[in-house]
Amino acid sequence: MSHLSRREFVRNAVAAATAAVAGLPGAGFAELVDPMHGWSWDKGVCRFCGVGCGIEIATKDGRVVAIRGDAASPVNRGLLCVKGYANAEIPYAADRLTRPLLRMRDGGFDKRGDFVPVSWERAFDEMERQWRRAHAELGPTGVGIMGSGQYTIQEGYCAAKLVKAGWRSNNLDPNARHCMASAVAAFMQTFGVDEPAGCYDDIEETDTVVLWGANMAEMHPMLWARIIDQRLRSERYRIVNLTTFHNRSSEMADVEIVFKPNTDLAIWNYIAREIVMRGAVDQAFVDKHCVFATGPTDIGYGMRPSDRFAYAAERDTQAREREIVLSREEAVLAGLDPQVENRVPQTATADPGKHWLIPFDEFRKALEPYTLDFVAALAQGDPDEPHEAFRQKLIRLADLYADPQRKLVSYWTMGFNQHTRGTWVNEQAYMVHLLVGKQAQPGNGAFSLTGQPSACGTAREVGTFSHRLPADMVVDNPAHRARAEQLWKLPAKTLNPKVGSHITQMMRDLEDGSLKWLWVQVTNPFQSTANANHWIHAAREKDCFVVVSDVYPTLSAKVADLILPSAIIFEKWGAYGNSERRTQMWRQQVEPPGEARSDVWQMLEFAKRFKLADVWGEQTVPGLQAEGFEDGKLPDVLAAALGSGCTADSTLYDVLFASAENRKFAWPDPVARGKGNSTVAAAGLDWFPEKALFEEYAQFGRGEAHDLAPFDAYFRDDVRGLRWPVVNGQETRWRFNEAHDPYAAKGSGIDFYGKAGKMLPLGTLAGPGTGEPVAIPGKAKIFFRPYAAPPESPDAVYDLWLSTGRVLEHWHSGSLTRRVPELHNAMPEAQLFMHPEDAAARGLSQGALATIESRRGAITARTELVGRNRPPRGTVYLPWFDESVFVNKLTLDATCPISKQPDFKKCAVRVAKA
Amino acid sequence: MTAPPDGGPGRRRHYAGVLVTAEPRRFDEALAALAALPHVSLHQRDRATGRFVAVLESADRAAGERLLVALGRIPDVRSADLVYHLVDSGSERTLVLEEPAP
Repeated sequence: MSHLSRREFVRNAVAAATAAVAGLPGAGFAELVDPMHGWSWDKGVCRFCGVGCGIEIATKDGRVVAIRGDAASPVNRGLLCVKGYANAEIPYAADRLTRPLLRMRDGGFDKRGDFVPVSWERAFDEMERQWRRAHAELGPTGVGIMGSGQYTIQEGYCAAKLVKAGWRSNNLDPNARHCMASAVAAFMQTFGVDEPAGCYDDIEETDTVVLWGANMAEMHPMLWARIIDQRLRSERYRIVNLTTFHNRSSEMADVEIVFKPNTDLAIWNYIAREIVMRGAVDQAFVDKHCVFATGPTDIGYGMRPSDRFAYAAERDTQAREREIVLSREEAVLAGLDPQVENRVPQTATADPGKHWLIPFDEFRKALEPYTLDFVAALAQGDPDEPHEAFRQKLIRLADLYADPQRKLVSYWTMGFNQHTRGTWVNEQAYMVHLLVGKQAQPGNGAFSLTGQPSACGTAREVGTFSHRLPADMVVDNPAHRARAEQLWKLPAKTLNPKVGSHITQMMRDLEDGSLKWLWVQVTNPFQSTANANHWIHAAREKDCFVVVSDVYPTLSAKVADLILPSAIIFEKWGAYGNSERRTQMWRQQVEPPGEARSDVWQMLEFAKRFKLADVWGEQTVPGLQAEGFEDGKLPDVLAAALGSGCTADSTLYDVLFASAENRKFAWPDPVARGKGNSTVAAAGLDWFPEKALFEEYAQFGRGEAHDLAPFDAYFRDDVRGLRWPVVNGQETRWRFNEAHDPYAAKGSGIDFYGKAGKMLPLGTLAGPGTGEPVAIPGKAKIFFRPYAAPPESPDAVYDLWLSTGRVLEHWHSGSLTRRVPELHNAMPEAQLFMHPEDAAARGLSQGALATIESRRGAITARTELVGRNRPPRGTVYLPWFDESVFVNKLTLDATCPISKQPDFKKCAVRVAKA
Repeated sequence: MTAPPDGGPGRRRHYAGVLVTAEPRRFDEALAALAALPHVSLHQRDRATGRFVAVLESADRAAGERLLVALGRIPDVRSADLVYHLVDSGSERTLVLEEPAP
């Protein structure tokens, strides 16, 4: 017998549980931890970033009481970052929203009124009244929903069907637009299909990892832990960190390359040039699987074309949407005299994604100016680094890509995606990987990481973007609309063919009065959208009605006219899809508090408010002629609907959601193992909406290389998510690779089988030719994209670069993590990371209060000179999680013109002592 | 190790199981630095990969979090990942366990 104090016992048990996860010896105590508490454990997935860590959730007496990393999860293998265990805390902060709140005065709604608790019925009454008012005035384009990469798959699908099929509007766009829209556009343009070829297994398969604008040590820590593990085990393993400032990922990197903002475009072209000039092209791979392409360069910066709403200080930047003066480097690259002023009107803003095929010789010619001398002079980001050292790093980088004996994975996140040439720079990563044949193979690939837990699973795969339908289909393709109408059992021409407003555009629409009803779900856009002063003013002062569904009183909730209390992750059933195409599901574990309701319930209930006659008669939508509709008119489909079994009194709930097929998914269901369903309970249903919605959605992808497994399969005890396509029960690790992907043609080896954009004209660098389009089945495109200067750079007045982003402890706008005491205490406020010399020149010392001002606003923050992020002279970094240090008052709402994703990583500011 | 301030019997204690990865060539230095931290106990270790398990004990979550942050800032520590977190509200008493079979 041995005698242990309880403290010693628990300490040993915790150590053993931890060691078991890490594969370290001495894990004998782990099983003793659980029984002593009598907790009920179930599997789930983390609520936070796009890694998609598996967790186990313990509940007792109706509360979540503990979280642990799921040792059976192949993603995180039992490890969790500091945010991970906050999953147990996030539902329980004191200011949890539990009742609808409506701005009222004298017993009625008043936009100037104070928030007053009301019933759900009163809340929906006002929502409906305001919706009808906006719809009557502006038609389907006058209403919209801002959604989320944190939507569950079922929530996103429900929203897409309600908005696109029900309301015949395409004004549905997720915050994922801010997160990875550039990755989407580049996948579609390069491969004709969305989402990565590879998977996280590449970390162990490769021997070289290159980070481009991805501080994985803080933003994707569990993947970083796997990379470190490999680095420590292998002398051959190499890590390169390309960044605009020194960060935590630099500390473990073999090579850190600090480059000037936007010059990643030039560095890629230098690498490509080296590969071509050294004869390092994998010619067999390129000949068999690739073609060369390019597109227009005068595509603007995704800003408003007019300065009607611009502040006076904004007008010079805004003018660059119409015409730019080339920088010295841009002039040299274009073969122009850099000593004169070269003005270039931006003429291709209407179709910036247009592209055409070019011969290899044109591609090679385009790369020629990107010599080591030219790129090193342009791209060096740290003025204090010896120039020769920077040159040598670029050579070393090119060596790694060009070495046929090395496997290599390039990872990126927001540094690429939040970029006024985000689509281009994504495509350049594929350019280099395709040139050397390092794509779609174990340990080799260009891999876009996502920032949100279901940016892939919901925003992209379900199709909650304003241009999308499920499974990569788009609203402006007649065949795609027809297929969606067939699967949704809609009359022909129900779906609106005109692409809706992206999330930044929706904000602009509020400002100019073309959107008057907005429902915000699972996101905090008035904090997260660039140039926020405009949008907050619009929401509060313009004639519009804003509804925010959330779990806490976020900044967006405070801006709203109506707040609806929502259930959070384990208070509802759900599914997320992570960065590696892994779909993971969870059971509801606990009930939502008070009158908080699931977002699915909110949409189903609101859908009951609309009869078909309200929405499926003729609708006014301008600009439809190009899509083959009578101009200005979305046709009346009511008669066709009535002929197919609907009645005049049928509601959108009846027709879209509670169909006979969906009601066959009965509740209770054995897969629940006795767990509850808050949607079912609140709506009084005898069917299982989350299962029905998933199975209906899955029809879109099955047989289309996007196959999801049956709903119940994800709840099997031996399953920790499955990577689609799931064919005959088998997941796919490397897409397009015949050895792994059943959709790759037999005998092809590699088959880039995506269907979009596979008929293109031939042309030159100057433009497309006039010949017939050429079919390029099975091929990926190697794009040439030039360096382009950003629309705003430091100048004599605003003399510093500002970059924004996240920190380890907080996630996104901090609405959840700032309510977890330990995370809040670890990083209580956003700090201005700054070079000590820049600070000294402004009279600022460590911790001093500084004013940061851009053309769009001014805020204050405390300076941090010795912290985890160390910018070079000329650059400052300020995270965006803290609503009291509201950095998006400063940022510029310029976007990649192709993807419409804003560039949060660069604008010009000045800093002074506050 | 030093016992954390716990406010007396019956108070909840927080235990965090942390996987620490140190630079293998500086393994002993990292261990020594960690051992000097209060409220931290060191457990299983793997010198080849530079990894070891630390358990942080604290009277509240915030204190535990501060410990975790402090641990991650030790120069030779490459990463400190929280693997397991447990709040124990049981009373301080002696447990009697059966010895495992030899």
